[in-house]
Amino acid sequence: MEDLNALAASLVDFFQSSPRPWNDRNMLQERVRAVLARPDADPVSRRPLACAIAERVQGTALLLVLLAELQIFDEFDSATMTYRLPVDMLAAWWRRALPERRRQVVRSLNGDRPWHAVAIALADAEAEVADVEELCAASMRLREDTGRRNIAQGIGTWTARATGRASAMLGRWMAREISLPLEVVRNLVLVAMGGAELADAERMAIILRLLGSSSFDARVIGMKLECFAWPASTPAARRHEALLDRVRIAPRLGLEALEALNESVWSFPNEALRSMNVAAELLRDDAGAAADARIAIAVATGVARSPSARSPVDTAGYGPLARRIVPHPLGGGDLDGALSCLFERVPDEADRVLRELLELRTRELLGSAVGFRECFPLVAHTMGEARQHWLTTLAQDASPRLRAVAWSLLAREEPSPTVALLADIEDAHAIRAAHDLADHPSLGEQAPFLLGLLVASRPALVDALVPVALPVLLEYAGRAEQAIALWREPPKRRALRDAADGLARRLAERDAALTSIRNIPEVMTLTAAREDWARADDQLMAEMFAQARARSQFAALVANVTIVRGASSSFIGGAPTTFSDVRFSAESSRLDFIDPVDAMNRANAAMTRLFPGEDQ
Amino acid sequence: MKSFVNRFVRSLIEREDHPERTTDLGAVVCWILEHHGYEIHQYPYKYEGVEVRVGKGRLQHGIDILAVKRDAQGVHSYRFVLKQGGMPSWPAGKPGSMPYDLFTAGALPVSQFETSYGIAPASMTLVAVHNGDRDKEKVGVLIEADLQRIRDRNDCKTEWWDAEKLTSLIMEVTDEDPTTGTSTALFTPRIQPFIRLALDSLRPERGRQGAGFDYAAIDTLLVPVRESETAARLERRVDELGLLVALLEAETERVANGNSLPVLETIERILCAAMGRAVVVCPKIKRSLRRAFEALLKTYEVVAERLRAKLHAVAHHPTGLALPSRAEPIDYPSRLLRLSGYLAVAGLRMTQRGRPASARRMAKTLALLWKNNASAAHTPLTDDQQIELLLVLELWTAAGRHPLVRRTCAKILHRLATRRALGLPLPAVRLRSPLPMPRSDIATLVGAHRHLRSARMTFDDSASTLVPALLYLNDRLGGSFDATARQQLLQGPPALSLQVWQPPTDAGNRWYTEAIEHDGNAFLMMRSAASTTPFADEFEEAAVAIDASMAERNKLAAVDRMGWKQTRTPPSMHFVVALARQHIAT
Repeated sequence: MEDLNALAASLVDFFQSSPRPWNDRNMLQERVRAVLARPDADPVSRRPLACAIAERVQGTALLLVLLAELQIFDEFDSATMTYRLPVDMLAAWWRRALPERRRQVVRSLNGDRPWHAVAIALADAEAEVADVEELCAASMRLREDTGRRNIAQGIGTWTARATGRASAMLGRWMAREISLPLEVVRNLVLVAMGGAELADAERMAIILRLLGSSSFDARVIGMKLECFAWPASTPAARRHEALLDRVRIAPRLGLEALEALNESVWSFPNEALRSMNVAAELLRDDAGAAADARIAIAVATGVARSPSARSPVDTAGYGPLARRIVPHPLGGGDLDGALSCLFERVPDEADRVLRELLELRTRELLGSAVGFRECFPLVAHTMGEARQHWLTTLAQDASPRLRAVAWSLLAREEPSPTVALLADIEDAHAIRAAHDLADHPSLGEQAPFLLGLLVASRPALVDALVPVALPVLLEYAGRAEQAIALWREPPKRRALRDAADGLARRLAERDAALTSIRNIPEVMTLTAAREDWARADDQLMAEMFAQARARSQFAALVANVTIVRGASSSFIGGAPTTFSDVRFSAESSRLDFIDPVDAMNRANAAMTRLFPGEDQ
Repeated sequence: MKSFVNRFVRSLIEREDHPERTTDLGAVVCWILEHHGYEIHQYPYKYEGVEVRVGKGRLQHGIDILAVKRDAQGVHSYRFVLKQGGMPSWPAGKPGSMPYDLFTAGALPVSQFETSYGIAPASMTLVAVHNGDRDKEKVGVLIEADLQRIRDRNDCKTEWWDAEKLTSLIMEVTDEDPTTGTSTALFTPRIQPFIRLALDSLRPERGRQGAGFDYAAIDTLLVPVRESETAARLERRVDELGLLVALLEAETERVANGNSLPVLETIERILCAAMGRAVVVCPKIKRSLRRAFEALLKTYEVVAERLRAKLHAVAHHPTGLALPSRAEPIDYPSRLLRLSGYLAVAGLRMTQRGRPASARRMAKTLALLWKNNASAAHTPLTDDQQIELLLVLELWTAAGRHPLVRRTCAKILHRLATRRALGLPLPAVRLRSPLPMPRSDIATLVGAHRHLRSARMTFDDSASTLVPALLYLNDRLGGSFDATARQQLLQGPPALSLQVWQPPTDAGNRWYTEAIEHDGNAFLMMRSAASTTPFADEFEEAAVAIDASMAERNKLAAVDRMGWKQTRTPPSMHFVVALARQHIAT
């Protein structure tokens, strides 16, 4: 160890005597490598060496380079999906480093990862108040939420270790001698309340200062403290009443209250949900419809969190809240979570909410090619197998928009259950469904597919359904062949077989016409754009894949290796993985190519039917 | 084909200075002899290394070619005396004339002539060759008497090969190798490779059903036409290329499923090149050259009529000319307009030749095609496709289908307005649609129709000369394209700039060989938008007549239409005004 320390000292000396600046990473790396190459620098001794060097160097960049070089920093822990940080080393360094040096390092820290280590080191070490203040100042410059949260946590732990620390810092903050991040203030207040360091008047003063701030985040922290900064024995009702009183006095703080209640849902779910309803009501009275969307988002977040609460939740609280979620265009995981929660507890309300939401988002849903599971994964999970039944019911709704959305979502479900469900719908609804599908603005090749299924599931209605389905099926020859095969499947029913024969005859007629064109060389040879069109298709497809890859959260986690040759790949000694082809294909309407204007006009007409009077 | 061979034979002169570049009568006779089993011992030209020259520098005794033919009886000698043209007279005593040379050639004893070539013939035949007709009424008796005298005096036989005989002999050559196709040996060495290239490009391995036809080879073959110094030479080049057309026709039937596009396109190119050259060498086209033009135009009509029959068979099917291909938004309109262009030109020619029934048939097929393929017919992709549109409208006007013209103009305008409303591209300016269309232009069109960013720099549909022409016809003929629809089509952003291109006054001499792009004046149609002046009045003001074109002056107006199509130069908009006036007059 002594030798290594000597080595580290020599390294540092070298750099101090070097005319080059300290932040010359390459040179430092070279020297470290040279040291590590020595016979006495075995892996076990690297860590102390790193500690020794870390104590002497300045600046994060150098520190990080050194740590990486010593191979103790960038080790990915697959169990926690995080990088294993050199906490012990950093803590050791923190303890032994001169205060001025520590502050220098803190000032120069950037990035997310070191903060976690610093926070833990801080909690561990006997840091000075000046260090903590320096850290607070540094964390306020940070852009990363995670870093700020880590520091706030570390400071919270640090203050909890000795009585008086929290109140002293809060005192200085109130006196505006220091600046503290909001999260730190909140932690300090909670620590101080836990240690009974803070008088009620002081607590109120802090809360009022926060609520009087121009920053929404500060007001939210103020509201949270209004709810949480109480002695531990304070009942939940008392806490929420205090918070609601605040909203009654200043209804404009309703949103901040809702945000605070969202957090409260985890600790006091029933009270929080009840209070949320009251707060929303107060806010709505004051702010009017403009705030409805934000109320709905906040309520949805609260509802979504409630299943994770520490205590059981009373179902009765959900009903009034569910009504607040609509009718606002919402997005994000919270909505899905809220609806999923509502489906479990108040299915009727959830059904209504979801219907209203789907109607509200019809245009968006019709324009995208996503299924129900992609839109609402949690709801889909909660619904389970009942999902397709629910969608089939929706496809019989009185609202044309809902029916359009339902078909759009059903098109992306497994076909077999859909066939069984289609067989159960009433005759009048089946005929209306055929028209809905035939006139659907965005189903594409799924329209003839579903029409084929619908006809197959209702042999008694063939005479009424086939005339509606036929024009659409003729636009998609591949789907038409599919339908013919389906209609001819045993048990063969005469009506279906005749319909299949009729469709096959129409296709054969068109094929015959095409055959006669194929014998006209003048027609067949005038196809100059094919090559360029195919190239454009390839380009668009490649761009689409690239965009999908860029959006994917998993793509970054998966190593992408191009295999040069072969039919399988493996690591040496490993079992080879055989390659397989993955292919996608989709059929486009014949009309899209032959008459794009008519195809677009039809789609626009269908949209106009769904959204009369709106510009398409 | 026989008529083209006949024309070709009659166009030959006796001797060319450069027979390697231009075929002469001697070369053709040698070709015939070689293909009919003769051995040639004396050629009408002599070889000096790779060069070929006509002057042999030796006494010929009137004999241009000495050939022998072998059979069971032994070797038979044939002495050929060649003269250019017909035999309107028989000047027996005139040195250099046919009778003089025949007497001289017949009088030369075998022992003095054939023997010197190592031949001991069992018989000798004297053959009089000329690429014209003899005036049998006037000199027939004289000729026969002299031939009898020659036969009696020299103990020989005589034969008479005139243009018809030469044509028959050429047509008898039917032993072509089926794997190599039509022989190109009739053509001079200089152009043979290009003839071969053009013919071979029809083979399936270059593209199914003649899809790979090499239009560039045809353009190379047109170089001699463009370089012809005299009217006579121009006529000979046209006749020679007429033979190429005949060969192409035969070859397309043999290997390209009778694809008429190579033939039609080749005829258009030959006629345009020749008309362009005629402007320089013979502004007043002589009768014989006119016949050469007319022969090609007649073939054009015949081939176009065959194409019409084929298209008529599928014209009843809705979207009958569409193929199952993703590229149809580009290919379908291009295909229909291109095919319509050929039929329209042929139909107009038929009208001019006094064949109204045939022209009406063309018009009817076009009407049916356009009705059942409306989405393609009413979707011009490039501004220059107004040429095909106008040609069809002209034919329909000539065929008396006035309501159809009015309806079609309005329909095209309505469709363009809808395209604009839907954000789809309008006819592109600066892109051209000849056959074959330039690859870069196709890529730009595809890019624009697929909304690729790459096309934004090169695709432009912010202006139009096509729309004003159609608007004018719609207004003058009382079409249904009303003010509301007009507003939808014209208003932006960005507003569609309506322009009338006034070609330079000499455009009618240039558009056969030259794409007139950076000449003339573009009138911006702004006045009627800002004032109460009717649009049609403003259009008429801008559409000033230009000088009569070369083809028009020589009553070959169809060649003008071909020129517009070939060089993608639209006519003066006075053409459209004249069209409207015809409607109003009737």
